[in-house]
Amino acid sequence: MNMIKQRNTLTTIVNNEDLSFVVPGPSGEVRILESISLDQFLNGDRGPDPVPEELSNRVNSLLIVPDYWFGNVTYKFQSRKKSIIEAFIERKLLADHPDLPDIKYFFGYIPHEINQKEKGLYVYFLQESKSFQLYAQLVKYDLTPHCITAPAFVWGEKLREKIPDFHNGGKCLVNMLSKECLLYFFFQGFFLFSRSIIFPDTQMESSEKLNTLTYEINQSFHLFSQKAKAGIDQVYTASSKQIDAGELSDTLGRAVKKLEDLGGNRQNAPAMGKHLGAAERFSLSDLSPSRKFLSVLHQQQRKEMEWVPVQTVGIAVGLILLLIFGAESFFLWKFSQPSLLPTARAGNMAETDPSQTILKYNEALDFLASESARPSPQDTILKVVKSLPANFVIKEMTVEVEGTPAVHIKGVMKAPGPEKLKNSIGYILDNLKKYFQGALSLSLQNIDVELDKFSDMQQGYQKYMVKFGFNLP
Amino acid sequence: MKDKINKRWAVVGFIWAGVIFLTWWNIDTMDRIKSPRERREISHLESQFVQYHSENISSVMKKRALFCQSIESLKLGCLSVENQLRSLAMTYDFKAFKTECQPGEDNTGSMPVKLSLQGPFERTLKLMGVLQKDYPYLLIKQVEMIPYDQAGNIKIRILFSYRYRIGSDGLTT
Repeated sequence: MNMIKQRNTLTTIVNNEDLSFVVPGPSGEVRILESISLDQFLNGDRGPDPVPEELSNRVNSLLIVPDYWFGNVTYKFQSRKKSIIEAFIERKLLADHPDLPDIKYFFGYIPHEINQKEKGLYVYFLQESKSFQLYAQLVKYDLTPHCITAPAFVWGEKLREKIPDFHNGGKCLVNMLSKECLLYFFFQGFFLFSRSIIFPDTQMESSEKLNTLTYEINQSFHLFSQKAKAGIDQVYTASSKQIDAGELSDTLGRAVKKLEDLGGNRQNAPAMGKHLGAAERFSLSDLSPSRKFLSVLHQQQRKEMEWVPVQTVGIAVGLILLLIFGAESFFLWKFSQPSLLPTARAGNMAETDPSQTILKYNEALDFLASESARPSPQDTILKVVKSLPANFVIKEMTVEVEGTPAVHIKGVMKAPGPEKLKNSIGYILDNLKKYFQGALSLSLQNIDVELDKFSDMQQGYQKYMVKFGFNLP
Repeated sequence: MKDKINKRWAVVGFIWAGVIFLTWWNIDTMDRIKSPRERREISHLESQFVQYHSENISSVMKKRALFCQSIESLKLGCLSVENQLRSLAMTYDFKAFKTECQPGEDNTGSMPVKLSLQGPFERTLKLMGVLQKDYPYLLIKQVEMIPYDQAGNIKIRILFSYRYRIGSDGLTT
């Protein structure tokens, strides 16, 4: 999988005003596909097809730019909140480089402790205006780099792997190339600055080169001590045939260690080769995305890249669920075929529908219950008659059974006086309440009584017309 | 890069839309499979209930049927009711028998029947008892009693609701 991925990748390297497109070969070797003028590429002077057609389907995994395109600075900063740090750095960079508005998009930082009490941020950023133009052009031709780094950062990572105390004190790396020598200075594990010493005359004698180099290195040591307020602890040299580490050690007056002697991995991986300047000693594995060298990326692109794992997981989980649910759907579809479904309904239709029977049965029960709750007129009349005293003669009685069941009675009551009449009415009420428990409107106020005007006092009795009614419970 | 990210989001969205659709489709299919099974089980339980309680159901239905007289036409129903009431009045020796049956034009299942007669109070109560017991399709809605002499005779007016069902199975008494 990694091999397939690597074959479709591309590394873009800026060296000496040239832009080189490097691709892995079929057997793992490095192949420079094409080198074009950086200025022509930036100005769009290369006609309608400025990039080789072979690059069209490749992913630009890395852009390597010269060290001086990157700047670095250490800020004292106590907070460790990402949003606060990033806002602070953006503000600082824009204040320090007002002519580079895009600088705020291309920076990275490492929180670290300056000393035991103070926290700080090591900030690295693109500071060359061409870098922003180059990024824009690469985006335009669908070659957006997935990260941007410099040879110094790649060396920094290589040294971190090989030197156990890389994070302590100052370290210098002398990288001898055919036409130039590159000096890299690191302090407490962070890249500080680099210098390029060009040997103009290829026929220059070795001793002259050594003297020139010694002078430049010593000058750089002074610069380092000014910047870092510390000295160089150890000098390392990368493989060089022209100048021996021992000779350099003698002239510098301090021990110089050969990097190859320190061991480490990937010694046999093929290097990039000549014509790539500072990057020529790197192998493809040194530049693999899995290596943790410092790099920057457009902030927006970085945020988008952060979503890539989410998308990948989303696609993977979605596909698995799709597969499972698809299989389930197929199974259910097969299971729901009419031939597999029970044929009970057809059989039931032939018989009497039991639900209809139960429905009718329920209706019949409800009806019988309501009928039994209906007051019986026969019982009602009997109870009313039993409630009346002997001196009460019914003139008219009506029993209503429908609607609001009620009884209305008109009658004549004989009584010697109102007091006895009142007692008789009380007797009626007590009896009615006894026989019709729960009946409403059974009170003295509901009974209409008046003297019978057409009757005279007979044997000490007076006739009273009594009229009352009440609702049945 | 942006296009690529957007395309990946589109792919994610498409896949998950598919997942959601399949989830919905599967639930719907399960419901479709489940419903006939549930119906069958319910039907089976209902059949069992009807089978185990057939006697009780039959008895209740018969009782219910008594509350509604099956007649061939409204007028025939009226005649039948008048005849039954006259027969009862004669049995209990009531006088001044009079009925008034008013068949409407709409078959609402019930019609008012008025009965007037005169007789002793005790027999009136007996008559009402017989009506309630043996003629449940004659629902007593109102009873009016007016005594008219010293011997305990009363004038009675009863308003019934005659419940009927138009059918071809003849008259039921």
